[in-house]
Amino acid sequence: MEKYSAESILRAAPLGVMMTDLDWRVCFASQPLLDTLGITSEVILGEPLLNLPNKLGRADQCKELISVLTQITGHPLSQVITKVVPVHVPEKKFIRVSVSPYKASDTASGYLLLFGDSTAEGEIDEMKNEFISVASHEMRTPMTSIKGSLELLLGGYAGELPAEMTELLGICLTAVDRLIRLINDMLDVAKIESGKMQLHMDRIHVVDCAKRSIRSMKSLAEANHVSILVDEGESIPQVRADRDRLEQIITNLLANAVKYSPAEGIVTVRIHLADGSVRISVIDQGQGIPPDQIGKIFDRFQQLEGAKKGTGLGLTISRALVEQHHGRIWVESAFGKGSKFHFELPAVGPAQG
Amino acid sequence: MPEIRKVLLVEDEEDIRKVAQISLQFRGNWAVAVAVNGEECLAMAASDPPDLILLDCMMPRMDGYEACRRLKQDPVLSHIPVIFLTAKTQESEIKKGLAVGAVGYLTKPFNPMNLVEDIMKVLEEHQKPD
Repeated sequence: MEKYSAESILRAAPLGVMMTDLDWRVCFASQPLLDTLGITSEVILGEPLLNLPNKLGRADQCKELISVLTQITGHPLSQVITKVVPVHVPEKKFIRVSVSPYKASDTASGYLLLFGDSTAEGEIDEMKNEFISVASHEMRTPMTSIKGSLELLLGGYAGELPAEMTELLGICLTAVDRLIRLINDMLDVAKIESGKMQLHMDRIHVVDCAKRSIRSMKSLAEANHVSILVDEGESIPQVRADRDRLEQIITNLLANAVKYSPAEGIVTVRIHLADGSVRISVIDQGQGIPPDQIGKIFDRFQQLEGAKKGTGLGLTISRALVEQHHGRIWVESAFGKGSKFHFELPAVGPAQG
Repeated sequence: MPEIRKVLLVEDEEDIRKVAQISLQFRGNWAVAVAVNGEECLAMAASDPPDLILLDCMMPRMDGYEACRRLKQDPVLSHIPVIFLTAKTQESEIKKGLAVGAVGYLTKPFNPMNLVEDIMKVLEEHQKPD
């Protein structure tokens, strides 16, 4: 039965199989995978997965895949991660990458990576994102006209209005503003998912960024009678990030924290250094997240019961943006005792010259 | 700073054009002429030169960038300040507008109650010595 050994089966499996140790050094890679990547097993065995780009003969055909692997191997993994990414070999295909921790025996453990063809799914996703982009763009123009007309009426263009009319037009304006936010968020999701979100990376002081986000939240915080405090560690290094997008992430987390805070509640933005990364935590005193919902809180259109006028996309966008910055985001929450949303971005050293 | 009495508003979307036109008349007491694309913009600017041109970027026939480039090449019209009105806040789009000679840009959706004020701010900013 030797010819049916686990290894010989794995070697011939039509889908790609790769195993690494806990330091992401490659221990095994199946033949079809090596063929797709255009390398031999001698070149790759024992190498950290992050060295893969230097070893690849076809690096530009697999750049999305490499970027996903770089993101995943940035830190230890405790759960299964699955992504669908395009490759060009040479025609465009999509592969599904699934990475999970494994423990084969008491001594040996590491990570298992499975690669499978997912072209049909990838193409449908692409069409969906294209549709959302076009539809959102088309919706923006009428929204702009409606919003502008309401602002002119409320601003006195048609003379003084009866109180009842002012109230109803005010409701219209609030609703239109919400629709515009939703359209913008949907466009962001489509852009991120299709890989068209371009980041303008710069060296950023996170504390400055957080303070700008807090300023933009001022009126919402006052309306909810919530105060926002900053708790910053000493000499926080800079991070490489897109300033507007970093602000967007913090603003999204703050908006949730403020909306779910009790009156007179305090929201804390804590910024400190953790293992070479800058960690930003947004801590609220709200009701917390029920244990059965905590796993899907970052999924699209997942809103808690009693959700307050959000688009349901804020956390999805925040997670995607953090991942695109090669960082990670997670939540700690004790039901009834508030939530702590954390994200980390790799710190960069002081500027040279 | 030149006084603004007459504005040429160039926008292909009828509803947005109407809202912007009312806004400029209501808040600025300005006379507003309208054009629906770059070609019309050039013809109208030549026949009755305005004090300011408010220009949409994406339009059929001739887009705002091309219209602005041609205005700036015309010795008679090149002094007229051009402000882009655009849905795009991307840095590259802003640079493109400034590269063809605009004094600044405003983004959509704009608040028609503040449009005149925002235009004056862009013009003031442009007048500053540095």
